[in-house]
Amino acid sequence: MMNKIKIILVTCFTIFVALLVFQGCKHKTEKEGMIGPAYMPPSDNFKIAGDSFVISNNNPNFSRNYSSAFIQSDLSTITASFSEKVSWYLSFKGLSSGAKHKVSGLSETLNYTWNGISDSLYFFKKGESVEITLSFFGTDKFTVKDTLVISDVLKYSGKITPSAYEPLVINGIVYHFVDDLEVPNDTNTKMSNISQDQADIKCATCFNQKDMDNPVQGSYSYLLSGKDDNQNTYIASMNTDKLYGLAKRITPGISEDKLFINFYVYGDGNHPNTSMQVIVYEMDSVAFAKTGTREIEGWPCPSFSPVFTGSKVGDITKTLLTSFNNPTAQQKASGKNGNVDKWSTTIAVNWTGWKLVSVKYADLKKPTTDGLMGDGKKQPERLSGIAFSLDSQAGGTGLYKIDQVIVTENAPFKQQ
Amino acid sequence: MKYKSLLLTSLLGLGLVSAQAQTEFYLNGYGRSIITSNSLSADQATNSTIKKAVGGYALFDLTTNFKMSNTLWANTILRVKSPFGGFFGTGVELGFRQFQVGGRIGKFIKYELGDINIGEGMGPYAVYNFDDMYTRFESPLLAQRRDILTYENFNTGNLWRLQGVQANAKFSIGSAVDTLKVYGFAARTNATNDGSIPDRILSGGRLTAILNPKIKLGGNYVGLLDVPVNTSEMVYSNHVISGDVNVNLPIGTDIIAHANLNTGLSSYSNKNTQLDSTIAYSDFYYEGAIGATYKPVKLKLMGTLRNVGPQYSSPTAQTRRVNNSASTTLFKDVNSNVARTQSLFDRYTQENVYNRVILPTLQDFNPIYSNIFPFGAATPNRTGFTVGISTDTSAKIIDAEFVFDKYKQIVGEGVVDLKDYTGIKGGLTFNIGKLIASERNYILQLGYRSENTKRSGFAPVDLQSTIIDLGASVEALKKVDLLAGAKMLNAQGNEFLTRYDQFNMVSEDYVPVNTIDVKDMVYSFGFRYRIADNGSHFTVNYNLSKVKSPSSVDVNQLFFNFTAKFE
Repeated sequence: MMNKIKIILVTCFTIFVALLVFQGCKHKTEKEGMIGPAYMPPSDNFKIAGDSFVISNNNPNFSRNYSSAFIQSDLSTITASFSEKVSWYLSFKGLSSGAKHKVSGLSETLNYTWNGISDSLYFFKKGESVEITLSFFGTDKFTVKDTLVISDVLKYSGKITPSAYEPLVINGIVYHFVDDLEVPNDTNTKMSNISQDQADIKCATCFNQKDMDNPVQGSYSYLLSGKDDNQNTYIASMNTDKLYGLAKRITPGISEDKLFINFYVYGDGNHPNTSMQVIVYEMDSVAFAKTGTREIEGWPCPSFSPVFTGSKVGDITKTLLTSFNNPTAQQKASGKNGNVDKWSTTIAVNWTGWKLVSVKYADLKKPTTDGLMGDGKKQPERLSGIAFSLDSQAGGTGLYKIDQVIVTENAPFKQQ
Repeated sequence: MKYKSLLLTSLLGLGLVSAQAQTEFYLNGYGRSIITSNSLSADQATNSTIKKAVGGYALFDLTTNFKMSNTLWANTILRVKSPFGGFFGTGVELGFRQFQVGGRIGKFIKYELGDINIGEGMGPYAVYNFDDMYTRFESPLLAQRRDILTYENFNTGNLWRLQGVQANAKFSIGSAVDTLKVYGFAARTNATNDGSIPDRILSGGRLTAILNPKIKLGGNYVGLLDVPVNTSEMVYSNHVISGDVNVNLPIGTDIIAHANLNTGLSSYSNKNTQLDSTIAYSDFYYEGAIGATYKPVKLKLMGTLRNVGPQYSSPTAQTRRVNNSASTTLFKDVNSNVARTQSLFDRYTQENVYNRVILPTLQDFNPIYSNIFPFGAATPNRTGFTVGISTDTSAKIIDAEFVFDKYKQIVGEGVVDLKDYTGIKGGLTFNIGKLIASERNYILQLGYRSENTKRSGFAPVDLQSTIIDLGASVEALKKVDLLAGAKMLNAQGNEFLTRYDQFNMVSEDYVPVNTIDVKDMVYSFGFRYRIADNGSHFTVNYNLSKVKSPSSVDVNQLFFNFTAKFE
């Protein structure tokens, strides 16, 4: 009996010591004193000082932001002063687009400059009214509201002149604008080249066209739809009008893990077998042939290095057109098409609604069947064109909408 | 589905020709028929609100069991379910509810695959399907309704029902270690779409060393891991490792002393492959308990000290059984703009309110039902103690319990001030029939659970929540019981609810609930005819659910239930 009591006492003492030791161990977060973002609700005596809730510009022009024409007063700065330190929320809501942006803070004053960005999937629209709400944690008692009208929206296009191209760079992310599918669009990179599988019988309810129903940004997106009657899974496609339109834009030496093809895709939920192939073209050294009056599509560009070294975008276009119209004898004799590497990936559009898709360049693979061949090496800086195809299962129907196509470097697309 | 039909046919065929001495084939059955007549009245109801509904169904689960010479067994449950009001088979559902195959390898290893219940013996910090409601002294009328939910959701004890494989082995070693038990399991909790979503594999196991009948050592491992696919954006992994020591030492013939130490750590990681950035953190917990059982009066004393880190992550222990966000299926809307929110009545009668999947993030919960341990014993960011006294479960006349919890947060969430939690729970089941040595059952039940949450500072919190259970069971005629039960919830105060983001970290979406004033009462009365001792019964009862929070919503239900078990 005494032995058992001794065993119990020893066991209890061991557990007690173990617990004491554990008590001495601190969790990492204990040193921080708090976890999660801090909050502080207003007290009953809280006040917004006088007429301190002010919007500096009720018709902001966000388009000139990040450009040399930018003036600070183009943007909207919202200010307010409070009687005590408090958790506040400032939210912006587009009354026609439904776009939203929200910031919060813990302070006695508010001073926030809005540059037109949205946190939601949708972009704010030119000309729309935006409701601005200042509210406080845990109560609606002190909420105030106001509105402004956007005179122009933030654009992600860089600066293009005949002699230079400067992409937009914001916080380390380089933006190469491709197409916002708006009307009109006369850029080199517009995705206006639409093809349809001619072997598919025209479907009475299928369209390939600009679409005004609930685009992600602006007034238009592009709808691709169809039926694969010839059972080859391919229905239609769209590509940058000139497959060299993006040439010489990507930073030389960039890693394929740091280049992203971004676009918004809408699935309607009624075409679950829809898929899209994302195809990029890299222009390597090129020869072309002209056969009769029909020009075989290619890149009328002599070897890559001599053309692009030290050349500017405008010069390239001029050189390309010149070469296209005046092939060398060697190029004529070769009878070859343009030498282009093609990389692709397939995405199943199996969702409902809009979704931002960001394809990492490193995830693009050589297609299994291809008539175009370059040097076989993935060279992101040689990205020159983009195409999207609409596919479905053999004999099925497919549909998606596409909007806002942008290539980014260093990170996927985000509004900022 | 095709392979299951083929296997069932094969099993039935084998059963028919099982003239071999070592094969066994037998059938079990479970049938249930339910009819409900419901009515709704609410302050916010309009002319277009649906205020009456009649529902129900009849179902039969046929279990086919096949066993071959102790080395191989299989069972399937085939369900036929017909909704109330369907004529000539309209709406009849036919499907497989369960498929299991198992057997023995050699002398020591047993295995199972298919629909399995995982987590046997792994404890509340590793794998545990907990119920956050205190139901020990609940009226049998309400318990019976809850039994339907646990049957439909495969809640066997505190195990999780998943599809996978598990095996266990038991070895008698010798002098140093009396018995060694090994248990392991693997299941897939998420299926890949071969595109952006990877497979998620849950695996784990337990090693138990029984040194002698008094001392037991154990260790657990649970891992929840993504198998990355090419284009998956996020790659998730979570590991839990724990160890425990149990000592049960008889002192004389009347007392058994208990001691237990349980500790473990978790490691979480979630990598964004596109941005090549990783969120990772780890934390630990410990629990020590001592107690004693005094056998002459079947009384047990216990005391527990517990500390669970704010970032302790154990999805298989922290996933809630009750999904607070599940919408109501009975009278879904009060009017076109207002949905009817879950009430106490829904939480133990509505079949869709239980989770069947392991969730990687901490779910939303309603603090009026449980605020001290909303995620079970593994609730993160808690430190404190529990003391209690209870009768041993073998007590026949009186079964009683009293438990006191005193806990606080380890770190503040959004503020530096800490929340303090105080809880009292207990109750009594009094079997008057046994006291007077009657052959009939006369049972009274009383249960009580109270929780108090307080915090001072810039964001003060003061929330009190009380639940009282009353129950009575009188065997008026042989095998015919008159039953009555009540469950009354009263909650007042305010709270700031924490929400968790996709990385299971405290997010900025705190929800201040400034005014909580809820009265939720359920009154039930009826009778039950116990057809057989195996639980087959016919029950009729009337339930009144009255919720005031502050607008009132009342649901009245007449409930018929015929349940038959064939074994």
